[in-house]
Amino acid sequence: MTQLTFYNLGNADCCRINFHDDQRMLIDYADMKNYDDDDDNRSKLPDLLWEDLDELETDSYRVVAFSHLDTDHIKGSSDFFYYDHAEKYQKGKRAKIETMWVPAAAITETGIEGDAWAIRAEARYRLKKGKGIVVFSRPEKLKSWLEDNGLTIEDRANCIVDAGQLVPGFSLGGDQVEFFAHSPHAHRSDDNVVEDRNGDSLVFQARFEEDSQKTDVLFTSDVTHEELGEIVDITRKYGNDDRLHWNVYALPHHCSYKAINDDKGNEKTTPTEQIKWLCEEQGESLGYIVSTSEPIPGKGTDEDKNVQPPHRQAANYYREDVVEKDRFLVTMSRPNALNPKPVVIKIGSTGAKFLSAGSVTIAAAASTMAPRAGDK
Amino acid sequence: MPLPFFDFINKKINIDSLTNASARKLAALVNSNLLDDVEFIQCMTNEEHSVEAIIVDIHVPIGQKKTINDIRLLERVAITFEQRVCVPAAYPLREDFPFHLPHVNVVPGRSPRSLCLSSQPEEDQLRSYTAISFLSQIRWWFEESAYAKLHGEEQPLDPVFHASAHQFIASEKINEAEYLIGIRNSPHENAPIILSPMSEEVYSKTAGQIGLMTPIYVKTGPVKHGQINWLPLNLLDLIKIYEELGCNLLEKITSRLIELLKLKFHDRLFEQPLVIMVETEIKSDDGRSLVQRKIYVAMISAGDVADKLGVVANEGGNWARLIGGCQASEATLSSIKLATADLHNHFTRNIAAVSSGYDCIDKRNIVLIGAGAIGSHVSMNLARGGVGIWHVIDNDFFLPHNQARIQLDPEALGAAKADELALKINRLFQNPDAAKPHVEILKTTKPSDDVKNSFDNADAIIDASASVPVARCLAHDIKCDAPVASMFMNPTGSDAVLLSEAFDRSVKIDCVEMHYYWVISSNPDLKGHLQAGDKPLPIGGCRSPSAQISEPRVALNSALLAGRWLKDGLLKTPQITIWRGQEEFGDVSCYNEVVPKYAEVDMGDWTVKFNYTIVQQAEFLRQKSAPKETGGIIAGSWDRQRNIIYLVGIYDPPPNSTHSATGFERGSVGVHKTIKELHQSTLGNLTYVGEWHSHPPGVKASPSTDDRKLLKWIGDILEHSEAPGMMLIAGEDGLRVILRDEGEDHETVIKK
Repeated sequence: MTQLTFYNLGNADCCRINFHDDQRMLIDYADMKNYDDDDDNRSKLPDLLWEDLDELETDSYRVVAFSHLDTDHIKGSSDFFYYDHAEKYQKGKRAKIETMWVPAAAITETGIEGDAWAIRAEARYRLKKGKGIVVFSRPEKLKSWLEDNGLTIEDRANCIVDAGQLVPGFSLGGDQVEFFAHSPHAHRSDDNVVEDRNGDSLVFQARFEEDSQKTDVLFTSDVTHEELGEIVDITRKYGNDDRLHWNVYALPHHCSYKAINDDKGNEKTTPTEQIKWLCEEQGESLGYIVSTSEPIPGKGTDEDKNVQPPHRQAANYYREDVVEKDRFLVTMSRPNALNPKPVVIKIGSTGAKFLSAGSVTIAAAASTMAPRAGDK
Repeated sequence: MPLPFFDFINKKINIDSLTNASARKLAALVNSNLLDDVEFIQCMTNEEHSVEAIIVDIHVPIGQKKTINDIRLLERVAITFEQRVCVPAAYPLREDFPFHLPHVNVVPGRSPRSLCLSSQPEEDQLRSYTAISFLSQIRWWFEESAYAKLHGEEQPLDPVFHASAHQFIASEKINEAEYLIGIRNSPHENAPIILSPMSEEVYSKTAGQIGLMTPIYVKTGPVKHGQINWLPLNLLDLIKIYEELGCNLLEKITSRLIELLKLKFHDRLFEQPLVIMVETEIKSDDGRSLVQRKIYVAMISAGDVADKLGVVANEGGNWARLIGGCQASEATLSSIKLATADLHNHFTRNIAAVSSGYDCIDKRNIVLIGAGAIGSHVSMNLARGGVGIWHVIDNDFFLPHNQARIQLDPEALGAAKADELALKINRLFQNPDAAKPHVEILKTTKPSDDVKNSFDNADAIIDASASVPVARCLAHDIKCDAPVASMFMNPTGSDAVLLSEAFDRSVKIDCVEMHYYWVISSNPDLKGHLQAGDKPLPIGGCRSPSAQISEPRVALNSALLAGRWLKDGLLKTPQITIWRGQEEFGDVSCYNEVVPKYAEVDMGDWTVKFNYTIVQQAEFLRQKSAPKETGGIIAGSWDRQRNIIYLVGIYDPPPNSTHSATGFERGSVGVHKTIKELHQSTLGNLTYVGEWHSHPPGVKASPSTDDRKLLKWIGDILEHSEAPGMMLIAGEDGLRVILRDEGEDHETVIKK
């Protein structure tokens, strides 16, 4: 069964995709839990992921995508993953990565350390080898780094996907899923002088298909409305509007108003023209918006006054103007803020459906309908 | 429309006032913050406080695909609990809820209608009931109904009447013109009533039987599905239900009752309870159409009903038509109480196929040779799935010991097995044409015209005779385009064997059988497959033994054979399938092998049929050995009756062979052992039939003087085998086949 699992990690990301053939993909990995704090109700991410892998009797992900190298997207990754580039990351129980997806910045960025350094080292190692990696980038952006390592763009063309292209390795016919790369896109990649992690992070649409029903999921990492606006403009310019269609919208930056407009607004953030189009025309009103964030603050609370997301005004826009109210899902609030659970969305022949906390017994419910075989 | 739920349950109460333990648990659950898709609204009860209800809003997980039925994102539901121990019921409360949907329970009168959440009996549901699973079932019902997935195509278009006191059985072929009688096959009160066409013969047999009923058959016009949702409690209800659908049922019932007077034995019919069978064509939105027959049983006799309707009267013990009688009042009609009942159709091919999970009805003409243990089991296994129009050939008779493992009833003792097996299949479908017997033997005499005709029209042949002569007859003597499948067990019954021709019969069953021997002789996993059982069962003296094989073993093997044969369908390539079972009924291992092409050449009085892979193997070994020659022995068999030589495989050279560029001397090491094992593993069906050798690169396969001498040597060896010597030479131009018969050599070259 194809499904998405968004883990409750506070303002941080990790989404697991179960493909129809039981292979797995991760988008980001941020183990944010404070294991010394009994009241920390964030997911024990490594435990949950290993439970899943162990059940499948595998230790490998088909793809692990690191949308960018900020802590809330990669924390603890060097303890969880097996990296080919150094023995240090091969000791103990570790999850292998068949193919790693990273933005170009994860190759070229300097002055980093810890988990980010390890990801960069692994990405560079794989790119040098020419296998097990897809870099989302304008090819030219990697030219200098490739030349410094005795390689050309042509040598590594199979490892690079430019915005506006389908990510290699998947096909709708064979895998029942394909990925369309939106970012990093040309405008940012060509013009950035200073690395901008959020702007240069991975944005892509996953398109699933079952029984001719296409279900689109938009992953937007931590981009702002400006980058989203650029994506909208470029995508529309090339007539690829449907590549921004979504049944599930994985919100940018933990429900920040900055993904809607520069102005937060008092009660509700007013979207820019491009964001309005993206949310209200490209989105399904019966679709789902997932905010990988802390609970949406109540008006006037301390959290409401905090500059950090999630922002109440942004949430109000999404749940009042974009989707049905109960289809705006916040990872730290489902089924309740005291004891949140990962948000699971099933993707099937009728589109995307949220599996509520009470749905865990649906298999049992369905199975009781099966008639008893025999001569009765 | 059902009456509003709140007409019945209309008193608000606090959660604390709930007395039913299950209700309290469910209320506590929906009031907790554990569930994010169920919202508690309120608790209620009725005046008598005999039913408690919890009103909730259910968030339905509808996808982005447009729904087919009007199920909303939020559905308000009343979950009711009775005081007795039972599974709660769920009543949709939305006024415009689509109550016509399938799987909404049929209820008496205009009572509120609940969701049909499970097809299991209540006691089974109670075993697994939990509040959370019940809520999940409701959510699942809405979710599936939204996309019309809840009601599978295999299910009836309209709900059946569950929990009925009566059950009826009738043939689908019964029609409105027929008079019926309801009889029981069992003296037990709750035994089903079989509705059969009335005849004097049938009726005379029922004299003195209890529980007889008088059915009348009424046919209405077509109705859209989902319209018949109410359980009539009396005749007035029934008439009103159909009146709303545009059908005057009263008129039809009345005229049918009057018609009973025409029957010779109408007096007895009028004394028996009346059964009204109403046939209605139900049409679904997606264009499907289904004839549905419902049964309504009157609590009084047919005569009393006719009397109350004012159409027939009893005067001095005689029933007569009442002219000018008054039309029955609504009060009279409502005084005629009815019970609803389910009707089971007789077993048909359609029911058989659906019950077995088969996609379609398989009406292939199947010729079955052998109505013994395997034949009777396999044919019944398949027939119970609606498979096949059977032509059963067997000249044997059913003896007492056969009852240990043949699927025939004791009443068949002494009868011809073919007759009885055909009769059993015909009874299964109540159709005399489902199977046809031919009591004759296939292998020695010429088949009768009837049998020839069966083969001419056959779509498939199942040879369950366990007889090699029969298989040979099918390969050579019977004119038939249908592929043959031979099914048998090994001597101990531990293994089952399926030898299958391809759809085009490109490799006939005799060659498939030969290849089977080659497979069992060369596959170490099949060692001992043909080892004889050590406990023969003497039946008619020592020349007529039968094996000691238990019914479970026969049943298991037959099921494997029947299931695989059916699954295979028309094969593109001939195949061999062998199942190896364990003595203690543990694992069963399955071996499957595709049979290679077999070529056939006529040489003098003989026909040589050979495994075509020999050509490739000999060439491969020739090249491997180049520039030196190589060779070895040939495994095969003879059919001396038909002058056929089978060449099934060649062996590598023994280790002490002498190879040179100009000659090859086959060594002796291991040859004796190889031939002995070949004999043992195949029960002598394969043996040494000659020699093969290669010629060096660039040299044709023409026999040299030495080769001629070798051929003579082979002929001498085989002299007492009453078979010609065979030699194969692999050369530049192909594989030369040379046969020496009565001093004369015959040669042909098979191109590479």
